[in-house]
Amino acid sequence: MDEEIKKDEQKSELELAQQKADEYLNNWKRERADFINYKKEEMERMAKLMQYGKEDMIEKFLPIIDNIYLAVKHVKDDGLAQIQKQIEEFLKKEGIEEIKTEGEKFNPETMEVMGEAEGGEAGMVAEELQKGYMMSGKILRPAKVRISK
Amino acid sequence: MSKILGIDLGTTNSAMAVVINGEPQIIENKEGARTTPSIIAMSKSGERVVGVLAKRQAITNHENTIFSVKRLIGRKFSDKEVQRDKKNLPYEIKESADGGVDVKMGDKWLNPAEISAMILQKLKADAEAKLGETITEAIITVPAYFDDAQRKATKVAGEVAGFDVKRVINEPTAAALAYGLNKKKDEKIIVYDFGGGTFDISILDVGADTIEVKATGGDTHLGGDDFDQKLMDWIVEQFKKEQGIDLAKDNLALQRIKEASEKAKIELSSSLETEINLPFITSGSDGPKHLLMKLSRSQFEQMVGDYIDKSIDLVKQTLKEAGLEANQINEVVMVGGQTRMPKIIAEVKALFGKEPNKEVNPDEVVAIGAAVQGGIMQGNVKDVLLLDVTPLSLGIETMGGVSTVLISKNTTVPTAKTQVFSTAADSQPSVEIHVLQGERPMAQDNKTLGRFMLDGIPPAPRGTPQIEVAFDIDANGILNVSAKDKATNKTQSIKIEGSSGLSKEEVEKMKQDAELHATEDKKKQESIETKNLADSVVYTAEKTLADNKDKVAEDAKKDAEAKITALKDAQKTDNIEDIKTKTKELSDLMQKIGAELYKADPKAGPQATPPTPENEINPESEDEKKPEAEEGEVKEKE
Repeated sequence: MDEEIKKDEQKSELELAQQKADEYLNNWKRERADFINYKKEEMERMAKLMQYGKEDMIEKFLPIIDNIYLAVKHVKDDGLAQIQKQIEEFLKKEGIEEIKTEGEKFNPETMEVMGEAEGGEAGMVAEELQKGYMMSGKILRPAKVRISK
Repeated sequence: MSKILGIDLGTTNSAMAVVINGEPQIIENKEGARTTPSIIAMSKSGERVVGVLAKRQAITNHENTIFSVKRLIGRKFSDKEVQRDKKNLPYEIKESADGGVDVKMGDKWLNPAEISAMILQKLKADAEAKLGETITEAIITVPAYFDDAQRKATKVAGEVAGFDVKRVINEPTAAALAYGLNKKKDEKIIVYDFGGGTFDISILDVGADTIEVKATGGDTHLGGDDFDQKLMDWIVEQFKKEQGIDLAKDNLALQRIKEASEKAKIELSSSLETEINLPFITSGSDGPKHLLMKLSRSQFEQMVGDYIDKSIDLVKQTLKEAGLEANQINEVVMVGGQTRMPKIIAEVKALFGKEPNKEVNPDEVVAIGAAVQGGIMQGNVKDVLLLDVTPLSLGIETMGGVSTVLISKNTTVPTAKTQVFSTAADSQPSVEIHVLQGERPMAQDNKTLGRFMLDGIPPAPRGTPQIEVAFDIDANGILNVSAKDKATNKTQSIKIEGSSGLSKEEVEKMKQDAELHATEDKKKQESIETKNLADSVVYTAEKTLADNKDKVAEDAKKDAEAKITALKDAQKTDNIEDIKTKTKELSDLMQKIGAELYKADPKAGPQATPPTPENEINPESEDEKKPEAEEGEVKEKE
């Protein structure tokens, strides 16, 4: 009788151990699969990150470009105008587009209102105060505009 | 199983996160940002816009742009907070039929929950687009001081947005969860939350399986925005003093100053000085004017000192209300972007005498915690295997007393790393493996975990024997270091238990030490590297001369010997530049000699390869050879 109980115990112990072994093996497989999938996702993320890095860099550079535009506006000088042209060409080459505002209707997706102006059709852009830029369809920075009342 | 979205529905900004593969992650919104302004607007053309788009049109549409609705949700119109805020809000509010608040947007009156629902709806849609699956379940956080009505209204907002709100949890609790502090039984935690527009303090008591809020405090109208405003005011005032022009009336200039002050504030968290550089800020009677100012961290700290002092006073007050002393607090958690300011961290640290938890992005920690709560409810965080990381780098001492890292800090364990080293002298019979822990480049500045000898290395020239050193940390944090001579297969090893058994403070101290000494360490390291290089050039030169005794021209040989002696003498000094020059001279000469040798006998074997000191282990460690000889210099008492 005792022996039978012992046998039963052994059996269940064995079953338990087998169950555990299965579970562990399964988890191990899962972990491996997770890791391989993770690696694939990581590759995609890396590509995105490179893009982000570029965007971030350009974004930080934009205020300096703004200042050059301001300088061109205030100081009438051919040399400065040439620098502006260089910048424009550089941006174009890097796939960065200016957001068109002139004659456009205000659109919060691409523009930010800084104030209102008299005259003109209500809700239309009256004046561009600061250029906005897009890079591969993503807004780097909205254009700052004044709109007609 | 669908995911539960954790949402931090903030006064100024909101954020969301989910648990993916057991890890909480922030979900970006459609615009690609990790936080979304909690702003809703009815545009002039009657369209509803949410988040950053609403912010972009706010200036010309302020009466239809609703922000800070969290200040109104679930409140009675007669509440003194509502009456106070009413004056500052550009949009219209009125008492609703049930005594609550109604907000006017466009031509409609809405209750605050409906407006919050619009923000939540956007978050839901953006999360679904990002994750590519339907999200129905959410956990939303609220301030600890929110009463039943405010919590209920927040839940209703979630439901209106189409969520099944699994739970409304406290923001400080979420922050504690993000740091896994729910596992610390019987601990008292203080959460210091300095957001954009509000300052909240919460004291939590972690019980067996609950987190209880013991006390709350703060100021609903103190925040990082006040810091920005202070800085803007200062810039405007300075400019007025210098140029006599008031920029406060120039919207465009103000906008540029606002952006520049935010940038300056952020920069001053990592550097000691910043420059505010805004050319062509305005035009005077005598042409364009430029704004250029320097601002130091301490200047800025003085500017906002009152705000920081106030926050610390409020913390003390809250402690008093909870009947606690500062030293009874076990953990401090930092929340909100403003807590990145070093002065705030220092003040909080000084008050509690311990390092605050601040590793998780303070703008995101609440949303992360909400996602963790979701994960716990689904059981997919609980089951996750918790893997430790090595808090500090582990390595061995190599030639010149340099600490060579094998396993760098923050490596997830279990892990193993093997690297082949060699001897530092000819016929070196043994190597001593000196196991080190720490971030400093020199062995003597790091902690010794253990050492052992591997002897019986057959006589061989320096750099020839291959000693394979293996580091293995198992899942229990036990470090096994072994060294094997590949020629004889002779192996020695050591087992170090509790290699990461340092307390948080000790680890933090060692990391700080490394930062503190970074410059001098770098110099020391460079000096050792230069000396090591000189040493290996001398070795190679001597070997080449000895191997080609009869082939090298006599005058070249004399020249080389003179240069070797000169370099050896230079090595005894600490004149690094001199050693560098002499090393180069010798090495150039040896190259010439080598070329001559090759010309004379093109079939001759290759020159002796110069040894690589960073891969060489001494017969005994340097710090034992030179007991405190160098330390004497820095000892200066009174």
